[in-house]
Formats: sequence, structure tokens, C-alpha cells
Amino acid sequence: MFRKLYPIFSLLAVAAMLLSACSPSTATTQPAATQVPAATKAAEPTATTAPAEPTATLVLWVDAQKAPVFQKVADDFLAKYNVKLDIQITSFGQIRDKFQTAAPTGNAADIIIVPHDQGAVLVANGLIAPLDLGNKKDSFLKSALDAFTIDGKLYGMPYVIENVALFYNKNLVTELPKTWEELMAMGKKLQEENKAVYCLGLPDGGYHAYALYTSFGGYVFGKDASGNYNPQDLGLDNEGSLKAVKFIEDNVKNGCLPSPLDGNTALQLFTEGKEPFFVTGPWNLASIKSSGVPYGIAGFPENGAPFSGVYGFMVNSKSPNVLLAQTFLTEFIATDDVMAQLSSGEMKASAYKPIFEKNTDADLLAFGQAGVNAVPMPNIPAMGSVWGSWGDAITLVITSKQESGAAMQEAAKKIRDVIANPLTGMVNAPGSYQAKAGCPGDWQPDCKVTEMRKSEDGKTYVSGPFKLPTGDYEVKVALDGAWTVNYGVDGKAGGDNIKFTLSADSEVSFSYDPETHILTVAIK
Amino acid sequence: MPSIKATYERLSTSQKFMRRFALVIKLIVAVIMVIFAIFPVLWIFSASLDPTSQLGSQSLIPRNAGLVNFQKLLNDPLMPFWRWIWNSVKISGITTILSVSITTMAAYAFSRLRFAGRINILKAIMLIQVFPSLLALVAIYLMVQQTGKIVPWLGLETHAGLIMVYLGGSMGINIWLMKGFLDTIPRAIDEAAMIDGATNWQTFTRLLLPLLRPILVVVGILAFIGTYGDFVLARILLSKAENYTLMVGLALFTDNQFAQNWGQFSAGALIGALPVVIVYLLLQDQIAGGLTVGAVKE
Amino acid sequence: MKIISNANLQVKIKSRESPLSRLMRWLFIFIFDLFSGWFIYQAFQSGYSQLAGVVAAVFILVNIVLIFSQAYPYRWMVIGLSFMILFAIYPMLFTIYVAFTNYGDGHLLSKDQALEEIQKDTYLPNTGKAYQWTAYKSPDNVYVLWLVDADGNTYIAKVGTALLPTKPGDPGVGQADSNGIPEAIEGFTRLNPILAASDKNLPQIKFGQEGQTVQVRSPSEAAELKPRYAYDANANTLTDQENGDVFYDVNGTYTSRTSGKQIVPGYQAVVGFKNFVDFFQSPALRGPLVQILSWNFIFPILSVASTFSLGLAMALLFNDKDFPLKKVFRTLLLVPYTIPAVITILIWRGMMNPDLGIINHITKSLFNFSPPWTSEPIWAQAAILLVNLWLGYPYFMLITSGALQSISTELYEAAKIDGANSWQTFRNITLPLLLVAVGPLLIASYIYNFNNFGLIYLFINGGPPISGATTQAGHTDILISYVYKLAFASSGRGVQYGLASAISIVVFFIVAALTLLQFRFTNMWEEVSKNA
Repeated sequence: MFRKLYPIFSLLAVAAMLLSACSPSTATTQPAATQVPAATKAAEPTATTAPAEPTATLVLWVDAQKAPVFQKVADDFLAKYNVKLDIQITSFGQIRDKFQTAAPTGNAADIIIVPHDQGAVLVANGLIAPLDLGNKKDSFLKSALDAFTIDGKLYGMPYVIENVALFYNKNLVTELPKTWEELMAMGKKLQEENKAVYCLGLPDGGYHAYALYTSFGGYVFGKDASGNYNPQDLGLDNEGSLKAVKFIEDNVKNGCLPSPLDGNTALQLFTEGKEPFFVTGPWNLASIKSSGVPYGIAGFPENGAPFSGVYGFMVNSKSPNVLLAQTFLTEFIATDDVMAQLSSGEMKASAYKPIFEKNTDADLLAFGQAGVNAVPMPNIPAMGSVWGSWGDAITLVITSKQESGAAMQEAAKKIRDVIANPLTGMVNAPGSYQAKAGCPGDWQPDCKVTEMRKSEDGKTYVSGPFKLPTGDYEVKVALDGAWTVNYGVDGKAGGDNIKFTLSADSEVSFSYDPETHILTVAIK
Repeated sequence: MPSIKATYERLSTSQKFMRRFALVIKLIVAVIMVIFAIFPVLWIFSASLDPTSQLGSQSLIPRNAGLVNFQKLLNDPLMPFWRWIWNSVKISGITTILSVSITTMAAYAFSRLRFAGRINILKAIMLIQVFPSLLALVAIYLMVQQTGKIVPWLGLETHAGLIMVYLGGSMGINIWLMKGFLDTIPRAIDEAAMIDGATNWQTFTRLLLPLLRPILVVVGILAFIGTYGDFVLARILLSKAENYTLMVGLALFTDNQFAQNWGQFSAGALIGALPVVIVYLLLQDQIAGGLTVGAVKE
Repeated sequence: MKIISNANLQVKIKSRESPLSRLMRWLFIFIFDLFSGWFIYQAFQSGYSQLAGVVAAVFILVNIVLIFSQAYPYRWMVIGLSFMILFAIYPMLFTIYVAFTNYGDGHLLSKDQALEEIQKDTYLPNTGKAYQWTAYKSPDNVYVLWLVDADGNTYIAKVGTALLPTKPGDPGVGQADSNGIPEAIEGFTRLNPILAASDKNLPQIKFGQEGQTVQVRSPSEAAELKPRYAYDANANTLTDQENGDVFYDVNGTYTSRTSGKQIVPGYQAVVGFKNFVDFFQSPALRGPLVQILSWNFIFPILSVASTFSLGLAMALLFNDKDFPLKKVFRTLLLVPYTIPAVITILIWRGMMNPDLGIINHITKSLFNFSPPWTSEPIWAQAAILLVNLWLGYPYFMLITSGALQSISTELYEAAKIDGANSWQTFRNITLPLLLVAVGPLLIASYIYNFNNFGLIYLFINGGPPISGATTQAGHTDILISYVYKLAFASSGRGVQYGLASAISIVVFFIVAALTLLQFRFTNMWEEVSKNA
């Protein structure tokens, strides 16, 4: 029966060959001669003619949308330096996951392109080499560099920034609204005149609607003194956030906003001219342009600050080409020419100052305007727990299953539950005795066997007695199941180990005074 | 076996009427089913014609409908679409042939031979399917990567390596299907052959295989579609566009958080469905081709 | 009705091996052993002990089966079993192993890899200096560096000799270019940064005198850097060379007992039953588990029942020989199976959009009612079942049309003579015989749907949400999608493969117990062994 398949196979093979013959060749054209870069030209022997093999190859993983722009960059790079940049197209959602699997085995790309909020976890896994941009550092927008800075070290070279903006239909909107109320009122009027289906295309109620939250004083995570996001400071149920969700709730009830809020529908209605306002980002610009709708791009009412995403290059720390990759970024990519290509190719604002400032594209300028005060999406792992519960709360509100206040408070509680350290409040006396007391090993601040409990008078924490053999021992006090807060000799934070010696097998108990932080060892 | 014509002649006129009436009912049911089956596909077709690359627009014929998506798809030098189809057909074809052979031989043993551990292996095959293989990907990746260091043509980026991994599933649930089918073929047939001096192998190849044709085709189609539609394994083992299978290539269009390119994806999915449809069209006669066990006299 | 296939005669295994086939067998064993023996050796040499172990298991299996004639029946399935060991059983063992480790974000690397990464961290000692560098290369591949320090002093650095303060224009040194870097150094050619960096060895070269060496660290910097951490293999500790802080190994993360600081990255370490304990203490178990579990049982049962019935109905419909255009019909009905579910699920979601979806459009104009597919629990569940029916019936249509061929026409003839009507024929002949062949597939389909994460996740991600639940959960969530939400998507701590594996094992035991129970309940094993 399989013989019957052979004709199909061969047919397809022939078709494939014919088609690949017709389609433009994918092979990059070799440069005519080794163009020795200006600086070295004088000293280079003049006899170099035939460009043999590329002197080295760098592998770059990039998603399909960006690939054409980068292929062009790669061609130029090969022509200029005779170093090959191998563009491997990988789906957007896969780059990070695949990199995590492949990098430890040495099979991943030398350079990857990721949004900043995905990069943090790769750094935590030790897969990314720190970057030194040298004197190029000042050529980048500070906010973009901050997005790729983790614990004070730079791990990526940013190149474009994206954020959402307020699109409006010029046929329906003549004057931009100053407040969110005004915006909805304008929409409502058009709706009543049968010119619009909804007042505002606002997908998902979370990411896209963030400007609404910030207008009213809401936020996701607050920042600590050193400017890092603080996962303990969740603002989703503060007054501002509640106001914003109430606003969404009211406008769904009066028919101004759709229920559910989905991006596809919003885009479609906008391109069909049935929606005066639409919150979206550069990724929909092409669709909107091609639909022919007369659109304008504006910032948000009431100084609403959207989230921003920064795209950048990260270098694989396990690559043998780390230096070359970094040099490629600082010497070739971080130049006016290439940065301009990347910015216009992706229709996103450049993170590279000389290009950002020179930008003349009206749409990009408008996006830049809308994003002047944009907040980089938090790159802390705790953010992972936010999206789901936040989205669910919005769904419950817009389907009138739950009132907005209750829904947001519940969501915030769920998020705090997940972020909270399950061992918060634990007092322990980790030390070199623990294994003998029944723990899996010594010096384990999270071992339940030696956990200290409140004494009956509630003034101290006690543990034991533990039966321990003769020997020298050391011990400390640690809180919350970790070493972050610990006390040693004389109750000193981060102090020396407390030592005790058993001259015979004995029973040992510990007691800890939370006021003085002093640990007492009782030997029986 | 009495022919249909003969059966017809024996029917009275009222029976004839009843038959016709039943046939009309059946036709109506079939048409309704076809609408149910095809309707969503029409929307995929619609999306493939929509130049704005959206999914599920309001009207079946999108505004400014055209073949832009098809043109873009077929002419993108970075996305060798025909190459992907060829890779997919090649990989699925080879996997199908090999895995059907493996499955059939194993099913023969389970059905006709008696040996220790028979039931337990059958049970194990079922239970392995139950295991949620959340981490199988990591394990398989490491294994193929390491194998490739020793035998390069079985490593990452090779289709041979991918086919090997797919064959890991050939001792799957299809063995149950095949065995169930074999069990319905009377034993007397092979026993007669054995008495005549045929070996197990001869009985299997000359007698049973022809009888198994319908189920071989079914299992083959299932294996082909299963392999053809996979992208979870393929996308982790392959990294270069020219090595991609169709599904890995198509996934590139949809994976971008906000900017999914549904137009080209739909166009690709439609063209990509053709090989499967062709294979089915060629083979469907074999499934219900009139062969029956009863034709073999006991 | 007696099942014809239930013959009682036992086929004897006859060893009628011809000399030729014996020769072939031993030849095969020889070649196989040669190749796989070499492979196992190579794998051990490369340090892939797990791979070597699995292949060795296959090696032993193949040899036993091919050498001993008692194992003859296994020869029929030895290839399949080998592949099964390699790509189905080994990944399971791997998962079980991972369940006892902390493998996941933050602990992705092996200990050696993590230490290597940690030891790359450097600091600039008080006496150290950093320079900007330019590389020059001689025809015999010797490098010198031109260094510029922060104060603008310039040096030539060679391997083995102290840094030599030099100015552009000095003897043997070319004139400075616009950046103050000499165009050439006698005997050496200036390299552009990319060309210099394309030599992988450059960062390893130590320029300058022993004890005060300079290495290329980044495109713009060469420095006298020292490694920050010193590793003590005996104590398994790292010491920060700058401030003397000692870091101890706590479950795969080097942690200071004084400052509490942790060194990134950690490594994969065995953590015992920690993942199982974490799972049983996690908020997941405080959520609406009963509700989720009951839907998790209802969903696959209804899915299998509906897809099987519709598939069988279609197979029967077209089993009729004189059905007009049946080839065309059958092919059209198979179409849902040929298009990737990823896209069709999303298309269905679009068609069921309450505002714009075509289905709601139609129901609105026909019945003036728009089903709330995404917001009302019962409608959402109905929608999932409908979509799954569409996705799944072609599978059963294919299988049952194949299996119908195995039923002897003589049985139908006999039934007809006995005066059975078509329903009786179906009920008493077709269905029982069919179930023999496809029964196990029904169970397999049940299992598949029990863990059908893709559909639930893509369609509405488990929604609509359950209001008032203490964890993030939806009305169409099944166990696996619910756990996924809690352990991955919204864990807030990145992906924890260790925990995920532990959960997989727990889920496996639940479903496995259920399946075995079901087998007992339906007498499946008797069915299987009856043929003995």
C-alpha cells in the first residue's frame, strides 16, 4: 500500500525543487573582497583577495517577526567583517524555554533577543554573561539600561522599547479627551448616534489598561529605597486600583466597554471604523495601517502611564564566543546605522539615544510621547503570580459575577498567598548538631525538626531537648527558614557562631529571646 | 457472499421504498454532519484571505480579500515553506512505515503467541500513556544531544534523531487496536497453515498481513497524522529553519504575544492539510475495501 | 452469540529455524553488539553515564531475546521494546529522579557548571588596574596589547614581560590615529576589535609579568582582575576574596551564614521528599479541589462517550456500500483531524465570541438568544465538550470504520436468517465485537482527555473563574491545568521542575489507580487473556 505513496513523495519533491529554484536564494552573497575596516587598512597586507570561509560564526536566536531585519544586518556584518551571523528563527514564546534547556549543554545560540522581563530568570540561572558597554553606555536611554540591570550589573544591550498608546479614529474623534470620563462620554455619544459599537477598545483589563490604573493612583508593585521592585508591596487593591476597576465595571454596565474585553474583537472593530478609541501597541500598527482607517496615536488622559517592554540582546555565558558576541554588540550593533535599521524595521522607538532623538516617524514619535512616563514591566519572578489572578478578577467583574472591590481584594489576597514565604515566622536554631537531631543535614535553617516554638509564658522560643553525642558543636539563630536574618554570639545580627562542647552524651535544649536575640544553650 | 444486486431483487417494493426513505434520511444526516465538520474550516479559509491577519472576522469573506498571505508565505526567503512540507512528509512517512511494522509484529505476538509477561506488558503499555510527561522533553533533549556527540547523524538538528524519538511511541496504544483486530481473525486460519509446515513468520506475512490491511491503513493514517501534527518534540530538537517541520514552522507565526500572524498561519495550515487529505484519499478504499474475514473459508 | 475468534487451539512454538536464518541471527547479534558496545563505551568515556546505562539495558534485552530460544515471542517486539525503553521509560525514570531534586529556575545547572559560572565572577583588587585595549598580531600569531589606563597613560603589554610604558611615535611604534591609538607596532598588525575578538583564545592569554597579569575581559576592558570566589572542595564552601564572607551549600544554593546573601546561580541538588512535602502544603490543596476533580471525571467521560458515538454513527452510516458520494463525504468529515488543533480551537473560540461570533449571530437571529459561552460555567463546559466532539470524532470514525471490517459478514447473514432487525443486529453483533477491538482505545481516550491540558488551556484557560475561591481556579479547570496555573504560570518563583515532577507522579498514581480499577470493572483483562 505504501507504494501508492511514492508518487506523492516524488511529486512533492519535484514541486519543492522547482519552487526553491524560483524563490530568491537564501544564501547570503559573499562580499566581493575582504573589506578591511578603515582602522586596520593601512597595516593589512594588500594581497587579500579571495574571501575564504568566514573567520568565525555567531548564532542568533530571534523570532519570526524580527528575522528579516536581522537577516539584513547579518548580511552587512558578513560583508564588513567576514564574520558570519547565523540567524536561527525560533518562535517568540520558545526562545527562553529552549535556551534554558539547550544552554547548559552548549547547544544554544551565542546571542538571543528577548524582552527584558524574560531575561531576569535566565540571569538567575547563570546562563547570561554580564555586559560591559564601555563608553557606549551613555548612548542608551537610562530607563532601557535599567530594565536589563539586575543586582547592579548589566546583562543585556537594549535596542527598542515598546508601549501601548491610545489610537483614535480621526473620522469619529475631532478633539482628544482630557480625562477618562470625557473619553467615555465621547464614546457614549457616538454609540448613541449609532456610529460606534463600543466607546473604547480596551483588551484584557490588565496589561493594556495599566495606564488607567496609574491615572487613578494604582500600581502593581511598589519600589524599595534602591529602586528595585518590592514584591511585598502589592498595589492591586489600593484605592487607585480599586477606582480604576470600578471605572471599568461601570462602563461595562452601561454598555460602553465590551464584555469580554478581547484584543481581537477590539482590533477588528477599530479597523472597521466602529470604535473611536483603541488601546494597543506597535504590533498592530501594520494591520491598522493596511485597513485604511484614518487613525491618530495619542498619549493617555490624566497622565496615565502604560507598561513598557524593552527588547535587547543577551549573551550566552556558556558560549565559547562571549567576547566576540559582546564585541559584535558594542562595535557593530550599537552604531547609528544598524540601530536605525532595527528601529524602523520593527516600527518601535529606539533605545539608542542618537536614533531616538533623530526619530522623525510620526507614529513612533506618538508612541514615544505616550510612553514618556511608561513603567518598565516588573522583571521580578513575583510578577508571574500577578497576571492570572488579576485577569480572573477583571473577568469576574465584567461578567457581573462579582463586585469590583471584592474581586480585586480577593485577587490581591491570592497573589500575596503565593508570594509569601511559607516559612515566614519560623524561628530555628540551625547548627552542626542538626543531622544528629534528625535533620537531613547540618546548618539547615528550614529544618522542621529543630524548629523553635513559643514557650508557655510566650516570652521566649524553645527547642529540644535533643540527645547529642560527645563533641564540639556550633549553632546560630535564623528566622523565616532562611539565613537572611540570623543572629550569633551576644545576639549580634550576622555575628559569629555560638560554640558549645559536650564532654559526654547529653540532652541539649535551646531557648531564644526575641528581644535580645540571645540564644541560650542548656546542657543536661 | 451475496451481491447487493441480488439482495435488492429479493426486496419487495415496500422494502425498496423504505430503503430509499432511509437513504434520504441518511443523506440529510450526512449533509448536516459535513456542515458541522467543515464550518470552522471555512473560517480558517476566510482568515487566510484576510490581509489584516486577524482571526475570526465577522463576515466569511473578509474586506480586501486576496491572496497576500499565500504570496507572503510562499515567497519568504527566511521561511522555506515547501522545504518544511517536504521535511514533514518525509519524517512522517518514514516514521509511519517503521512504526506500523513494529506495532504489527508486536501485536501478532500478543495475539498469537503465549509467553510470560504478556498481560503485564500490555498493561504497562496502557499505563505508560497515563504518565503526564511534563519533563519528558528535557530528558529526551539531553539524550539526543548526547547521542549526537557520539553518532552525529542521530543528534540534534537531524531528522534521523527525531524519527528515533517518534518511534519510542510505536509500542503505544495502537498495539491494543491491532491486537484486538487480530483477535477477531479466527485462529483456525493460521493453524491450518502451521500444520501445512509454515513458520510463524510465513503465516504472519503471507496469511495474516493481507487480512490486516484495513487496520494497517487505519493505524498508518493515525501514525502519519500524529507525527505530522507534532511540534512539541520537533521544535526542541530542531533549531535551523531549513530543518523545521511544517508544524514547527507554522508555530512561528502565532507565538508572538500580541502580534500573531493568523493570515499566514491559516494559509499554511490549509496547504499543510493537503498531504494528509491526499494520503487519506489514496488509502480510504483500503479501509472499507470490502475485504472481510468471512471470505476466508474455515 | 459466540465469538468466532475465540479458538482454543494453542499454537506451538516450533523451532524450525533454518541454518540460513540461524546464520543471519548470529550475524545480526554480532553487528548489533559491536555497534552498541562501541556506543556504550563512547558514552561512558564522554561521561554520559545515564545514556550509557539506558543503552546497556537495551543491549542486554536484545541479546537475551535473540540468543535464547525460550524468548522467541519477544523477538517479535524487541525493536519496539527497545525504543520504548529509550524514549518512553527512560523519560519516566528521569522525571522520578527530578522529583527528588530542586531542578528548576535558579537551579538549572549541574554543580560543576554552576561553580564554573560562579568562579567567573571577578573583582578589581585595590592594587589592580583596568585598561582599554587594542590588539596587534604578528604573522606567527603572537599578540601584543596596547593599553590605555584611566589616567591616559599608555603601555605595550606582551606575554611574560612587565607592562612597558610607551607612547605613539616611539621607536617601533606607529603614529597615533584620531583616537590616540598607534596605527601599527613593528612586527605586528593592528586588528579591528571584531577580528581580535573572533579568536577564542584571546581572553585566555595572560599579558604582563607573572603575578601582575592583564587579561582581556570585555570589548572595552583588560584588567588585572582576580576571581571573587575561592572554592574549597573539601568543605564545599566558597569564600569571597574581597571581604572574607564564607558561603555554605544550602540545598544547592551557596549561602552566607552571616549576611544571608545567596550566590547566583545555584545548582541541581538532591533534596529528598521536599517537593512532595511542598506540594501537600501548597495553597493548591486549599482551593476548590472537589469541584475541579468532579469536572475532571465528568469531562473525559462525556468526551469519550460523545466522540465515540458520533464517530461510530458516521462509520456505520458510510459502511453502507451504495451510499452516494460516500468517498467525498468521508473525506470531508475527516477534515477536522487534518488541521492542527491549535488553530481550530482558537477558531472555535472566535466563533463563540458573544459579541461577534458567528454562532451567537445565528442563535440570536434564530432564537433571539446569545449563549454566554465564556461567562456562564455550564455554557463554558458545554462549549468545551462541543469543541472536543468536533476535534475527536474523526479519530473514532477512522478506527471504527477499520474495525467494522473485521466482523464477519456471515454473522450478519445468520442474524438476518434468524429474523433480527437492524437494531438487534447492531446491539447484539456489531457493538460487542467492536468493543473487543476498540475497548482499550476508549480507555486510552479517557486517559488522554483526563490530562487534556491543551484544549482547556487554549480555549478559555480554565475560565470562567470561580468567584470566592481561595486560589486561582476556573469552572472548566481540570487537575492538570489547575496545578499548572499554581505551579508554573502563577507560582511567582519561576518554573520548578522538581515540584512539577512530584506533582506529575501524584497525578500519575491517581489516574493509574483509576485506570486499573476501570479495567477490573469492565473485565478488560479477562477479555485480553480469554484468547489464551
